[in-house]
Amino acid sequence: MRNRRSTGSLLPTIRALRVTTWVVLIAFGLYLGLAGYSAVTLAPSGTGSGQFALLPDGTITIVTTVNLSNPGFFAFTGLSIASTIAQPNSSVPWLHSSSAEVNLPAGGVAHPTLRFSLDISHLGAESGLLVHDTSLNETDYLNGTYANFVGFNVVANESLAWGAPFDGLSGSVGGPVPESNGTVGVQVKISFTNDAPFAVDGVLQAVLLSAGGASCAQGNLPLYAAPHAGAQLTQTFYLPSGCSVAGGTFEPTFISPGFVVPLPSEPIP
Amino acid sequence: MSFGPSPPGVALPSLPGRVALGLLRMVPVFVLLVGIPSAVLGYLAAAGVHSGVSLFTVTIGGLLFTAFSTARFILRPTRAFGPIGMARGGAAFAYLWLLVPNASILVAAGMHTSLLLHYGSALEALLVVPVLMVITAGLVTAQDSSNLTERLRADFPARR
Repeated sequence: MRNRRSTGSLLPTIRALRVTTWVVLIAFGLYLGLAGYSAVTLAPSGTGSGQFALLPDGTITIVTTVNLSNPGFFAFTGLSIASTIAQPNSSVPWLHSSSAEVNLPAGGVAHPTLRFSLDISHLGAESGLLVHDTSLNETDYLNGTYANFVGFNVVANESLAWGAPFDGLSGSVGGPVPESNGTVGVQVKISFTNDAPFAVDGVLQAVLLSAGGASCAQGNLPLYAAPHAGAQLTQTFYLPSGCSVAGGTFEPTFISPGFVVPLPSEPIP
Repeated sequence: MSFGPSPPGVALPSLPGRVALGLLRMVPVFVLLVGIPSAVLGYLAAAGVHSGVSLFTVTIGGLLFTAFSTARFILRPTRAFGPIGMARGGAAFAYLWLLVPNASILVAAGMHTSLLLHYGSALEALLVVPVLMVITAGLVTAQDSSNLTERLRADFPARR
């Protein structure tokens, strides 16, 4: 009798568990179905814009604020954006930036920010970027979790147009004019286009080297080039007697109050 | 033929009838667990969407679960109902558990953008269902081992 009573009491528990199992299964299916339906509406909701600036210490910053909105029914959590920039024809990351993690509630907005820094004083082998426009390879990564259960990674590759601040920098030397003091005057014309979205303001130091590598003359040319504007600088350099720059090299250096940028050498025609 | 003499207040169905009904019931279960997932995987593959879960895994898992489910239905009037239910819950748990590491979908949008979705966390949360199945079946086994008639009166009540 005692046995019957104790085992009989299991039936209500069994029934309750069966109902609970079905309720959990159906509720979970509805939740995921609704999350999937909601996710379909999300794709085109993010935009961003980049701001370039040349800081007084010689650092170019690219700040991109991405505007994300979530018109769906569920929240994004642990949302982060990272981005890398590689040199042309390379996939090796050169610059890297990542945003702090943000949560984006249903119906909410978030503005994660990416910030790239490029010290143009120490570019080394990449100094060609200062004198040649090019196209860089940008890869963006968006990671997070949607509706608590679905993690996602978006990877997007795009081309980033790079406008060089001294695009097409070149120097040409005019014919020699003997001076009364025994030196030879040559007119040097330096031209380039500032294709960067910021102004270039400072002094361009030019050194003229002979074909043998000897320094023949040096001069400083005041320089201001507005964004997306061309610049032409002309100055007469006086070469000591016997020092010819024909077939030599023009070595430019950009000097600003806070930094010095060695620019690539150019041959003198 | 029946499962044996019916206790008082119990109307046990015949074994052939139960088998026939079980086989009929197997059709929608098979469609739900094998047909639809296989069709979805095939549709995704045709659309260029790569799933981490293979068609083979889905087919084997679905067939296994369908077989357990049908056996459980047929054996409901017996003491084997509880143990087969535990086996079904265990198989469902193992199936979901094996799917978790491969629960991803890769969508390529054009040449330059890709989207990788991971739904392993959803499957992990869903593991609570087979756990509930195993617990329920364990209680049924305990119930049946001491008083099978009590459950049969509830599951197969005699018409008055």
